[in-house]
Amino acid sequence: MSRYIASRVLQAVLVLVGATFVIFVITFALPGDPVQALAGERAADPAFAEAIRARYHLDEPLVQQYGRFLFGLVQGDLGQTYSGQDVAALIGQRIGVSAQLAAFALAFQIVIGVSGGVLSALRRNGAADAGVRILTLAGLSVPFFVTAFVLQLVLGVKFGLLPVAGVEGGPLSYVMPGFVLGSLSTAYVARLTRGQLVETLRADYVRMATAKGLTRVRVVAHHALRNSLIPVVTFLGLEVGALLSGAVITESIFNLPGMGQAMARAVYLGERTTLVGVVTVFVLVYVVANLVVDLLYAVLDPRIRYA
Amino acid sequence: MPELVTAPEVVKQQTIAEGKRRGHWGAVWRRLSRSPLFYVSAVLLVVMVGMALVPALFAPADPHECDLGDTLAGAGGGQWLGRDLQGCDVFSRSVYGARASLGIGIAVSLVTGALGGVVGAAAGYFGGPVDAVLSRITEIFLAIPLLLGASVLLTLFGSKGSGALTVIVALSVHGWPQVARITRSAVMETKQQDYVLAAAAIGCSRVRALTRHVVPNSLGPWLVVVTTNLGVFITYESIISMLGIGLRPPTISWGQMIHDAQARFLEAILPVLGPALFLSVTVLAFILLGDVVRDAIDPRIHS
Repeated sequence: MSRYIASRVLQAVLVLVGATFVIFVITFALPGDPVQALAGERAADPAFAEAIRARYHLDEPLVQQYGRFLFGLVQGDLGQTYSGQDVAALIGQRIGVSAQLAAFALAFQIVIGVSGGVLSALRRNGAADAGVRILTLAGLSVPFFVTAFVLQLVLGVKFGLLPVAGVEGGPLSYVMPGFVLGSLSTAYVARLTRGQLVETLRADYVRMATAKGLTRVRVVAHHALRNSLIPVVTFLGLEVGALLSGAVITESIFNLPGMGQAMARAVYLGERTTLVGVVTVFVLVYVVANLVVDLLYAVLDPRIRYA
Repeated sequence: MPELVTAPEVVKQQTIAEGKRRGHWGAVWRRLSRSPLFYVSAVLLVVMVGMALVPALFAPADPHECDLGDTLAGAGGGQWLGRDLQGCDVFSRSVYGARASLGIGIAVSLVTGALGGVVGAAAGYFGGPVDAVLSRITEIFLAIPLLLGASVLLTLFGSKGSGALTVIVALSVHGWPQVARITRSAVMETKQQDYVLAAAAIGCSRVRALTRHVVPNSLGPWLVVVTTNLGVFITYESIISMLGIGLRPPTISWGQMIHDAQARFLEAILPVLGPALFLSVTVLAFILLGDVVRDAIDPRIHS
């Protein structure tokens, strides 16, 4: 087991280094000269240009710049924006908004997705099942940004139940964006839960549990559901990694000052250091979530043994 | 007279083998044709493909003939979905949008299916160091967010023409790792089956075992993911076009229509909902198709 853990950790580090390198290379392919952007309309003074290039190490070869970036990354230093702001501090200001948004999305997935799937599986081929499956298909096929516009119009503008955009409304501000961000995966979780539970309910040990006289609730909650939820937990773990970077559009529709918005702004302004920093955090969360899921899987399903 | 005795035996065995080979995909087709959902999705897709090929047949008006005086007019008066900001018929424009949206979905699905299929099959079949290298590359690309790669690529190359080729490349770069992952695990599972071992035991070469035994038997999960992905990539196209970095006018696509209409959705929601309806129905059709294909290929999970 410890050998398995060690090799998975090593793989995760390799993926992290590889992904940040690819990000570094493609980000530096972005057009625009930061020196000229700072100088404005006039041609930059050669001495000024020289100083800026030296300060941000723009005159060094790409690999050397990447090495410098990695060295900073291990120390928690993500460099400075071209206007002199510390990128790590900027991310620190914004990560709270992104984390709350992701937490709301995840809560919708767990509460609505899992309970919808369970309801659907227990009332298989009944009216509730049909309802859940139709809603699930709608959730998978209607694009989430359209859901966002409709919710803003109906819940926000027409009935005034929830804030339309921004974070001034406190936790309530995250309800609509969280639902929108999680809607696709909520539908997927419901489908996954239903499929797994339907299969597990047919297993011999479930029939055995019923045969020895356990109540229906106990059979479902203790014997069937526990085993059915392993793939769901796996999916949700991977989802945590995807939620941060998936929020770019949701954050811009609902005007939430999170990391997704920072990334969109950085692309627009050609702020390379910010872009690399923000996406590195996305990738870091993604890789760590993947690693945790893999390790968790071995704990949750004792049939899986790793040499 | 041994020949006289064995000859009919050989012939008989061959017929059984032939019949079985036809039998697998035949059975898949029989299960497929018995499913009502298959016909629902097939009809929807035939209509959508028809719109993509000959839009003039379905559209009541010319999508480029617009009346600014009628800007954002509601439904009615021959415009089933109203008019957009430029006064164009939303329904007709949505019909004409099918070509770009479907075309990109199909192109990206084919590219990612081919690339992901080859990488995944190689990683799963050869295992060892080949698998280690290919799997790490797959994971690296999986970790990079869609919008980063897409926005950089499209900022670099998107200014030329309608940007269709760049959109296809950007979505393919993002989409292939998922196909590779699924193909890899399907191949790894098939590889361990007894009949592959048996083929190796009678001296079958690795290449032959791969092409004749492993690949045909791992095709199911690949086919399902490629089918379902058609809908996913159509949605992705709409996402990047909605952000204004995807397809550009004069090309009409659903995402681009939503992009144009989103700023004024509080005044007129129909220009957003019109293309969204076309988009949702198409994605739904591909999801249903993926579902029935999956159930037909693997009847064990059929409930």
